[in-house]
Amino acid sequence: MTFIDPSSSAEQLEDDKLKSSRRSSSSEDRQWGYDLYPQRRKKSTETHGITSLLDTKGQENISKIKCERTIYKCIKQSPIIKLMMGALKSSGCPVDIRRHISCEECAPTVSGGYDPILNQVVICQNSVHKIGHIQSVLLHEMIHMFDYCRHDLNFKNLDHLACTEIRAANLAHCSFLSAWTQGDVSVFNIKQAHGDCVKSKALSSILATRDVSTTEAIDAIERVFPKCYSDLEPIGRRIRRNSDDMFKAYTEGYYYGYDNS
Amino acid sequence: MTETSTENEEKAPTVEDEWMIRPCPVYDEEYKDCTSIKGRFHQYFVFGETLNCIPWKRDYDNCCRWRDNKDVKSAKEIVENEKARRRQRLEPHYGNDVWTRRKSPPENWNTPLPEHIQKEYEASYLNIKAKEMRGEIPTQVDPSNYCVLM
Repeated sequence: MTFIDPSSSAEQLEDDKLKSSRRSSSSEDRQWGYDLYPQRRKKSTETHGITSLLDTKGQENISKIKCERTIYKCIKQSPIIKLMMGALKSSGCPVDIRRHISCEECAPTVSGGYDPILNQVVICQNSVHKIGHIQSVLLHEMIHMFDYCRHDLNFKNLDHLACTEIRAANLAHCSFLSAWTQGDVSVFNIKQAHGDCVKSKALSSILATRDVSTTEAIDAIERVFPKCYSDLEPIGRRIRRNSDDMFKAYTEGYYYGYDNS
Repeated sequence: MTETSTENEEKAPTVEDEWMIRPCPVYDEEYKDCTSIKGRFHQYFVFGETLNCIPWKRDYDNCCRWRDNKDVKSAKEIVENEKARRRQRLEPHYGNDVWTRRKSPPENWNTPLPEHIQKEYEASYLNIKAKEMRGEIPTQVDPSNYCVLM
């Protein structure tokens, strides 16, 4: 999922025009998902009272170090993440692990996101702990980064957003088991059910970060589905759970120019 | 003299786009995966039908002949199959006109982060590791298994 933070962009650019538009369009701001990432808007000035002892606050720094350590492990060891880093580097957008990745506390509903304004992948240290989960979130967001790097991806354009979410669900998620738990698949409905799983995953990603109606989102998904479902770059295959697909995709990447060295 | 040089040339035949030929076990793995139960199930799940796995088998047999006997005809067949695979993989990517391709990477790819964020990152784990990866500081041991007393 992705989010746009108009207020942080105004801080960056210090543009008066933007600041005035920010004041006047506060209702518009609610359309975007920036409230899911409270730490990104401003420097945190939290004061801790007695209740924070009971609230298990104070673990954030340790959580952050653990999160960053797991991310570093992924970068160094996971074949699929190495493939994405190589693909981004070869597309002219090398990933700097400090500049482009960030561990933060976020709202409990999200596990990660991509901020196209600051150009950072956000990993939610309070929601994801296991290395497999972090790898999956990192992969999902790096696919967004890849689309942003190569194409004129405008996250405010619903068609573009639907396309990148379809590609992320297609390449990184929707194994048979996850489709089963999502309810897209049943004993009588397995044939080509992968597409339905991708559509519903993309739909929930869009609805989580944009204040659009379900029908609008579904229309956008249906419009762009045929083209975006068959676009498999840079991975080149739909990863199957419990298989060697990630390693195969990594070695295949060299034949397409995706090299991180 | 000329005879030995032609002999040498015959000993090392080359094929155009030879780099496309992958190590032979790769083709064997792909064929085995394609015909496995899990693989077939996945094909049915995604495509609604099972795929034709014969090209992988042919490529494996051809690869063995090329590797062991330098059979140029086999090598050319593999290259043809690989070109078809590349076309099949890259056509939907370049044909995806939902968005247009950029001519250069985004301008904000490496713009500096806001001051307060940069300050926070100074002493962070990823900052140290990023510096190590760039070679600015020597690699350090990560005491990740030590106990932490709060």
